[in-house]
Parts: sequence; C-alpha cells; structure tokens
Amino acid sequence: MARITTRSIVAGPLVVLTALGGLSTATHAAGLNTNVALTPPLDGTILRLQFRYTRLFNDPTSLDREVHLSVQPITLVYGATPNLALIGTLPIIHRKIEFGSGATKRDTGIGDIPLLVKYRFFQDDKPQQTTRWAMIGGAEVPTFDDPFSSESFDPIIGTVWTHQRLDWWIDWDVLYKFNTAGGIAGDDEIRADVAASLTLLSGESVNRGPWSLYAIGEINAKYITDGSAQVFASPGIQLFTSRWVVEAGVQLPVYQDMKSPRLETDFTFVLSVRILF
Amino acid sequence: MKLFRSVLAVALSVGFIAEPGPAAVEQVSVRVDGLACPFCAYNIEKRVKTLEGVERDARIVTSIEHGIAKFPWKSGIAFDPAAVRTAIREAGFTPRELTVTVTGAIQVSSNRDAQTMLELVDEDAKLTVLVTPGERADQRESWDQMRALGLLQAAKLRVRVEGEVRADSADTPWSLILHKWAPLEYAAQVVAEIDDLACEQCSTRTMRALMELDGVIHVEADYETDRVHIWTRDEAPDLRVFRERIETLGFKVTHVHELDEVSVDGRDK
Repeated sequence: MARITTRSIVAGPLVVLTALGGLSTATHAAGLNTNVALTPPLDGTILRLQFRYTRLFNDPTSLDREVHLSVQPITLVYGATPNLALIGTLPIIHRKIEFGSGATKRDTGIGDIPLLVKYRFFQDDKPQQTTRWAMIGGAEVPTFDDPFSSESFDPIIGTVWTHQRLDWWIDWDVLYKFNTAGGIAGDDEIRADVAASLTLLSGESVNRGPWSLYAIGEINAKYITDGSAQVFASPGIQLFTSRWVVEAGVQLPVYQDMKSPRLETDFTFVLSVRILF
Repeated sequence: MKLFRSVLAVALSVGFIAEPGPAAVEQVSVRVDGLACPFCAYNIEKRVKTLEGVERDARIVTSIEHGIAKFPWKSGIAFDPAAVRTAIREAGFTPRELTVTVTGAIQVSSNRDAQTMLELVDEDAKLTVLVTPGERADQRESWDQMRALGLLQAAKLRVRVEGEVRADSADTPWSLILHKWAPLEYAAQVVAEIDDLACEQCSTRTMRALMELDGVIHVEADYETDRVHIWTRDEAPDLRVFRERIETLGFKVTHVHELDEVSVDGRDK
C-alpha cells in the first residue's frame, strides 16, 4: 500500500496524462491539452516548454492526502519527413503530498518518457483551410526514477484528426496506453480530446509576419480500465506568431468517478511556450 | 486589353529580337493551399530558404490571409519551378499557381510561341518587346500601336503560369520562359532629342550607327517623336559620344539626357 501512495495512485496516471498532453500538442494549431494532426516541416523542430500545476484532493483512503503536482514537460517534435514527425517529452516533476496527519512529503524526479512517431496519412488542402489525419504509435520508456516511473515499457497507439481554417479550427484525438506494469499501475488508459479554437484577433505585418490570438475550448476525457473516469472542460487562450506561441489555460473537472485509491482533480493550470526553429 | 493582345501577337509572331539566354527571374510568388495559421508562415520560409535560388537572408513574405508566399530569386541561378513546388510540399502544404516576375526580352520564333506567351502573360502586366533595327519595316503599324500602348518603354515582364508544369519538358510554357528569355542587362538608358529625324530610313540609319558604338546594346529611334532611345552597358555613358555620332549623320541634336531607372510597373522613377 505504501508503494501505491507514492507512485501509482497519484503520480503514475496523472503524469502520463500530462506528458501525453504535452508532447502530442506541440505542433501547430494544437490545444493546450490535446493532440493535433499538423506536423513540423521537413527538418523543422518545435520546442514546447510547459508549466502545469495540478491540485489533487478527495482522498478515498484514510491517508486523507492532498497533492500539489507541478510538471514541466519539455517536448521536442522533429519533422523527419513532410508527413512523419518524431516526438519526445521529458517530464520533470515536483510533487508535494500533504497528509491528513499533518505530515508532508516532497519529491522531485523525471517521469517516464513518451517517444512517439506520428504519421500523417491524409491531407486535404484548400485555400485558407486544411484537413489532416495522422496515426500515432510509440511507447512510454521508463526512467526508473522512483516514485515517478512506472518502471515498465508501455506501448501507445492513437489517432488525431484536424480541420483548420483561417478563423477557427477543431481537432480530436484518441490515445490508448497499454500499461504493462503490475498492480494498479498496470491499468490501461484511454483518453479522448476535442479542441476547438476561434480567432479573436489577427493581423499580418510585412516585417513580423502573421499573428493570431485564439480563444480555445477543450473537452478532455480519460478512462482507466479499473473503472475510473474523468472529464475536463478546458478553456484557454493562445497567441500565435510565425515563430512562437504563448498560451495559457485551466482544466476544470466536469465529471469524476475515481476508484479507490485514486484522488480526484481539483484543477490544472497550464502555461506554455512553443518555439519553431 | 484585346488591342494590347492582338498587337503583341503580331509583334511576337514575326520574330522580333533578343539574344537568347537564361531567364532572369527576379521574384517568385506561389499560391499555397492549406495555410491557416501563423506557424505556417515559418514552415514555408524554412523550406524555401533551402532552395539554391534563394538567399539565406532573403525576406520570405507569406500571407496567410491571401494564401501566397513571395520571395526574391537569386540572380544567375536558373529558376526551377519543380524545386519550388517540392519545397512547399516539404513545408507541409500544397503548391498551386506559380507567378514569376522576369526582367528581360523575349525571343519568339513561332506563332505558337507567341500564343503561348499571350496565354501566360498576366493581363495587368507591363510588357516590353524590343525590336531589332531594320527588321520592322513592314510592321510599322504594329510597332506604333505598341509604342502608343507604352509596351516599348518598360523593361519588366510579369508572367503567370497556372497548374502543374514541368520545366524539363520541351513544349511546356516553362520551357519557353527558361530558354527564350534573355536578361536585359543594361546599366543606363539615354534619350537623344533630334531637331528633325524626318523619315523612317533616317531612323534606321541612326539606330545602326549608334549600335556600332561600344557599350550600346540596343537602340530605338522614332521619326515621329524625333527621339532616340539608347540602352547601354556603361553606368555613366559619355553623352557627347552619342551626340557626335548622330550629328555625323547630318541631324541636329537638341538635347541628350540619361533616363532614370524604370520601375517595376514601367513608369519612370
């Protein structure tokens, strides 16, 4: 049980969720917590730096824990071909657990590293719009950094679809992670996201190129094969230029049914920067 | 525009001028489908700058709103439309219509070439058809009409090509552009005003005499306006040489002066 409290219950699934969200959105018109089909150009690289703070509470166990989780996923997306991108994320995690007894526990470490390949198999370009569909495959590679690593090699498959226009875009994705670890950390996860964005302001400068300010809304759902389920509503805002993006948002739970001993999520705050080079 | 085109068709079909040479593409504009967010602009820039004909520090202007990317083409590098299309695809988008801005003169040797040119040329384009002295006697009317339309003044030509075309095909429009377009590399343009050029033969004599001078690459003389245009490779031509040469033919030169550079739209700067 002690092992569960330090790794699997709190850190494991949440870190995975966070890391997947961080890595697979680091492309073009992606949301803060979702995947997109667009990829970098050939030989192009996108660096995404995020700060995600999450508060977990409502401990169903007698430990009465409250958890403050700060994750800084560092994501690189590289365009190996015009249609194929390589994606990797290094999640740096700081965790503080406050027990009902008054005790406090702090940990810092590196979560498991998702390494994915995204292949775009469908693309339909029209003036000022594009529709793209990609498959994702890869695995989460263990770092064996206790308590944040599942210490297992976990395959991931998924798909992502995007339709983008000048004034708005929408995308959805589904990802399935086969957890090969034993115990509670071995429950598989499926997550689905829908993101929609609307241009609030935009402009084009001869010297600085185009820019856009988007309002974004996402629905992020996660189901764990032990029966736990969560659905989040995630509003946010994004400022795009041709070279960088600054974005911020929150994830607010609209439905949670977490099986013991998992904690519920109070909220997640996300601040993110993307740079294309 | 119909008059413009019919006049040009006649002019081109009789095989007027210009030494063949590589096309002098100055500016490339490509319409791109799939552009829908600001990040797209840098994707285009990154791949376009890998092209041999594009300087690494060139300004690549991509308009998301209009779905167009524009960039300058390096002097002395043969334009390669297939490479441009590949670069756009590598950026993750779909290339459509290519438009290039070309400086130079056209060598047209057949009606088919002339017709192809007419199909390529943008209706808003300014055209220049330089005429070799002595080869235009029976095309007087056409030439005058072209002059009236200002076609002989500008040195810029804009060409638009639609659809997928390959430069390596002998009968494609690109072949015409790349192989029959000669750069008009002059450093200065001089105008000599003559008291009375009198007749067409006088014009021809004057043009031939001036063409013999070092540095002169082209001459046009018009007996109706009593003006002679001289294109020269010299950046600072000696105007007295032109005056003296014309006066040896028995004409009185009232004024000789150098023209400012001609702008893209054909108007003097």
